[in-house]
Amino acid sequence: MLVTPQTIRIAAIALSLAGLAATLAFSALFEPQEIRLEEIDSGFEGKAVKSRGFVRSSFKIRNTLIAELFDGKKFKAVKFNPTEDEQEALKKNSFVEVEGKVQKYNGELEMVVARVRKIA
Amino acid sequence: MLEPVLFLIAGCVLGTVTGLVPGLHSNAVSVLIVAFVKTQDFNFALLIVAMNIVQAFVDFVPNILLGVPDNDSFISVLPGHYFFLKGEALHAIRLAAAGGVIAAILSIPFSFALFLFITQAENFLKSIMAFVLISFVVWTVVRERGIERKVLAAVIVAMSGLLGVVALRGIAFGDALFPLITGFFGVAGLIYSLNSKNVLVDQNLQERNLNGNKTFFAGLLALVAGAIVAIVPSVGPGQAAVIAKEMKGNMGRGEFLTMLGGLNVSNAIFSIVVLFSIGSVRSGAAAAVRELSSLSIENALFIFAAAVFAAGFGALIVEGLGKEAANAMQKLNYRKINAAVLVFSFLMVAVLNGVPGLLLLFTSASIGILAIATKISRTACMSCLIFPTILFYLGL
Repeated sequence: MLVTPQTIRIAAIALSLAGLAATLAFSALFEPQEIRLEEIDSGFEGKAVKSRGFVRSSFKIRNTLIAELFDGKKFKAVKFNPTEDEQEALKKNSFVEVEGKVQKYNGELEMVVARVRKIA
Repeated sequence: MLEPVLFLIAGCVLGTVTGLVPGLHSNAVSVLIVAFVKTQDFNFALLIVAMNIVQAFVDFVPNILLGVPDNDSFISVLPGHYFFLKGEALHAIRLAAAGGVIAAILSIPFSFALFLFITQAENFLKSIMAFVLISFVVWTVVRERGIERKVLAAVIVAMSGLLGVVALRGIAFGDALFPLITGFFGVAGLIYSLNSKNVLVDQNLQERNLNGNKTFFAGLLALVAGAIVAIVPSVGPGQAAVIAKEMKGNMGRGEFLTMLGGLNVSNAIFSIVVLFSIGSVRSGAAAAVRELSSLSIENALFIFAAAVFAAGFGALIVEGLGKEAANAMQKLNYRKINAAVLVFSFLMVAVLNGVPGLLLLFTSASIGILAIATKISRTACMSCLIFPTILFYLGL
């Protein structure tokens, strides 16, 4: 059986299109849901969310920064191995946008922050 | 939603660049990206995976077209150079790309099987790994023909292994992996090829059909070789390719080249599978991804989709580049390119690893040059990783 270069080209295009479609699908599927902190409940456990809030307090233990965010309800946010910029963003009284995964720790919901952006 | 796609495309473009510049590896660029990004940003993980996969395809363009030995003997040249000297460089590039496409397609179902196997057999594999690796070391020496070559191979294996143990297990050298690998597999070849000059051969740009069965089985064999690299830590693609070739028995140059193309791609994909299944690092790209991404199933699927896209892109870009490059690259001053990459490698090591790193670079490059000069396969130099891994699995 002979394979023409055209067949290989078609296979390559099919691969690209399949990969691109899957990337877009996963991108949409795993896109963090924008939600107010006060709306996060146990139904969001394990899900990625994006929220905004004021930093009411924050402190660092070893390589972990723990912040209390507030937008009508307080919510704990945890950032592992924060960079200097992230520590600066999560300082008290900052207004930030955070992206991360909701998880339960010691019976309490918290967000493991993947990205943080200081708004004000 | 489009942000990941933009990073993906940027990764493909970077992979094309790192693939075209001889001696510049995506692993080195990955190290720079991780140092630059400093925080977990999943989009950069996608970029690195795409770069790594595309480089696996594009690598063959300079590898086949540049550094061809000024030598009439076809026996002593690499398969790609053999085709080049026959004026069939473009066909050789297409064979490698075909292997890559087949390996990428087959790796979709194979990756899930590998994922299940590795997660289920992890403990058993750990218990036998030291003996598997010792067998590899013995085989690396024994497979050389003649007593003189066996002794030479043993010397190179011992020196590389000792250097690896001293550098990777001690604290004096910090992160020693980069200077070691750059020395053995980058700088050594670059210094040695500074003496080579461009060979000009008119290239046939006609399209030729491929033997479907042979191409398919070479792609399948590439998966087996890729799985060996994924399962057995510190064994490199070079060793796996030779094992696969000996498993097949009689293998033509074209089939071997197809298998190498497939192996490059399957190795890049499977290193990600291993990372997300048991958290182990099998490549520079996987190490970078570990820094930039949490090891969740969602991220694994995302990265896998990115790898599939990059594989298609890589095959298409090689097809596009091949024709132009087949003639244009022969006109490049290979010595100047090598010299520039050489300087870049030294600078990278100096910046990232300082004086201890440069010491390792000189030593590993010297052993690498010894391997090239004595025509001992440079896979013997992989002992720099295998020896410390054996000691780790023996609990020493």
